[in-house]
Amino acid sequence: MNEKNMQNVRNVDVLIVGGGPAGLAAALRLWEKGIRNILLVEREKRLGGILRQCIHDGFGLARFGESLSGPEYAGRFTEKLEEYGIPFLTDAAVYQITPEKIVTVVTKKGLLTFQTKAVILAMGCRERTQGALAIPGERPAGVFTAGTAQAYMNLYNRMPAREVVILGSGDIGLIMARRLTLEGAHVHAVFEIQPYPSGLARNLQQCLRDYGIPLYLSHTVTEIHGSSRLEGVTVSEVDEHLRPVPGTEQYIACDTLILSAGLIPENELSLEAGVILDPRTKGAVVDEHLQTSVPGIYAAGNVLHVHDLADYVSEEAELLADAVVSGLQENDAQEEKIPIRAGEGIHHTVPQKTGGREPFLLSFRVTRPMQDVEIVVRLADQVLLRKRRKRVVPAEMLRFPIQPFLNAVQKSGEAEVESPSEYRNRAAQESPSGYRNRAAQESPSRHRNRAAQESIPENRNRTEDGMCEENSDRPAQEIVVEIRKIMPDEGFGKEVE
Amino acid sequence: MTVSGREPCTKGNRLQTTAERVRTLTCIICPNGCEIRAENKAGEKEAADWRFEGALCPRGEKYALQEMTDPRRTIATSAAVRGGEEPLVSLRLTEPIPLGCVREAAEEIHRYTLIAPIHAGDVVIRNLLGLGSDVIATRTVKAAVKAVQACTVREEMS
Repeated sequence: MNEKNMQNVRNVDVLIVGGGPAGLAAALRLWEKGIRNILLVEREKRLGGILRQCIHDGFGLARFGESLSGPEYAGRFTEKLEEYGIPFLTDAAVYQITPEKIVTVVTKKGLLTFQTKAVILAMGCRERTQGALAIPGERPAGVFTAGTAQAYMNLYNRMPAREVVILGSGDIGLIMARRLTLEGAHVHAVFEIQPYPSGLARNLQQCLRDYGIPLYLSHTVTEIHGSSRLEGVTVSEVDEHLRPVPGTEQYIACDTLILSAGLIPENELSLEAGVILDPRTKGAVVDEHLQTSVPGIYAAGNVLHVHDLADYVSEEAELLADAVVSGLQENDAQEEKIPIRAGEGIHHTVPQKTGGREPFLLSFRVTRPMQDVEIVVRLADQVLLRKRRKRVVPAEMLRFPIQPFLNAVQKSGEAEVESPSEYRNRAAQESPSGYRNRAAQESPSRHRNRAAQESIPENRNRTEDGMCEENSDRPAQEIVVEIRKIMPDEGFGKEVE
Repeated sequence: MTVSGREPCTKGNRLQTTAERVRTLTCIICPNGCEIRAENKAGEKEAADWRFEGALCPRGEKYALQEMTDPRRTIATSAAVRGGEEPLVSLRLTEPIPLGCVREAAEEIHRYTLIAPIHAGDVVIRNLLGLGSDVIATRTVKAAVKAVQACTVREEMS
């Protein structure tokens, strides 16, 4: 950056990138906690993010105890934002974030540059597109992501479809199946490549079954037909490896194919800032404060990991704001973090590491639908959480508070504090043979398989799978989150939540 | 605000048939989406005549009874707006209406074009199809600047 630009740099304590449910909640919480030199930057011309086009109800059940539409839910936040007078920019896109937390914003009046103490990433996510799905065939008009169709209908008052096929059973696709039907379109069917639906059960009921729209599992679109406008699609069954089964092709005439095949956190800015991403969540690797690998850069909401509910996005952003407040006040040094690993049956976790001294909210998803299961979070032989569930599905994000398991935070460097490395040494002395061997000896039937799976080299470098980048030189002290089926003889008590 | 002047929709008054004594429902009250097995013991509409299994909370049983005796839904839709900053306003129902009336309700709402400004929470149709549910705006649509000027000019002239 040259001399001239440097003169125009403004100082902001916290800059929030994105004015959706995460960014709005973070801004409000920061303000309420007395952090006033903040700025929220939104790319669209109005605040609210994707909530603006989610006109269906179901928002706010967890937070406000009533079922609101997306615009109403956003309104609860934007009204407060205006009441407080929190500074925000709309029609302004963040162009760059540097590791030094200098943020460049493109506005209609030109570039603005901000030197910040903290940046909150709240950019949300993108939809997986046709290109990302790699469907062979033509590229006619009439192939939209569910969110694009939603924007046409709910923001621009345009009807994009008459005869519709939906690929993917994500929640937005299901919501759009209902919306299109009520607006007079004919939705032939929803096709899902996986053997289980990816949307929530309630949406399968109230968006598909209510309207008699069939859902075909283990099916996918294998060809797109048409030249200028879509004329039809070929649909095939897939085998257990998700490969199309020859001979099962079926042609469906339609003018619109709607894709609802997942969301991808939008992290181009984060990458440029040097933030390390988790290949499983496609969001930043964060600690219990939701701080990324770049000190002072935080992430919450769908940019961090894809949520099911806006309510949880807002809550996560508030927890983040609390951490930012203490970060600004205490300027805490980068303490050592213990990695959190997604074990058997778990797809990913957020956060991916923790200092262990403060309570935090652990979020994760399972890899496949299961019934009568036990979820265990443990650090070596110390069980941090044990929960039973009647039913778990990948569509539902699980969240549990985890209590501090090392000595609680003590201010101003008192000697009582036990660092993770001290804890590790102590733990190692106390059980020299290690948990895994002992566990195998103690209850062989239950632990054998698991122990076998986990007999990994102690110095396993986890950088290759991106789970934790700073861990390569030390013994594998890690928190493991795993899920297992409860055997019939273990019974199923009343611990279900 | 408009009062819907049409005949009340009666498609929702669907009585439970004896053929449907046992059904598995998906609760739509919250994201848990409990699978609830509903079994009718006596064939009446009272809660005591039913047995429900699988709900994680009491709201689920309440939903299941409602679903088995008189299934209801709310809908969200939109209506075109004239003279506004946005071309449409999003709408929803204040109370659930019989499931069988949902399509007709959507068609009825689509007959209307609204005039800006509209405020979030405004009742735009009262007692839709006589079903006891109002249609409210869920977003504020301000009047476009040009439309405001045109109105002012007209007032001055008259």
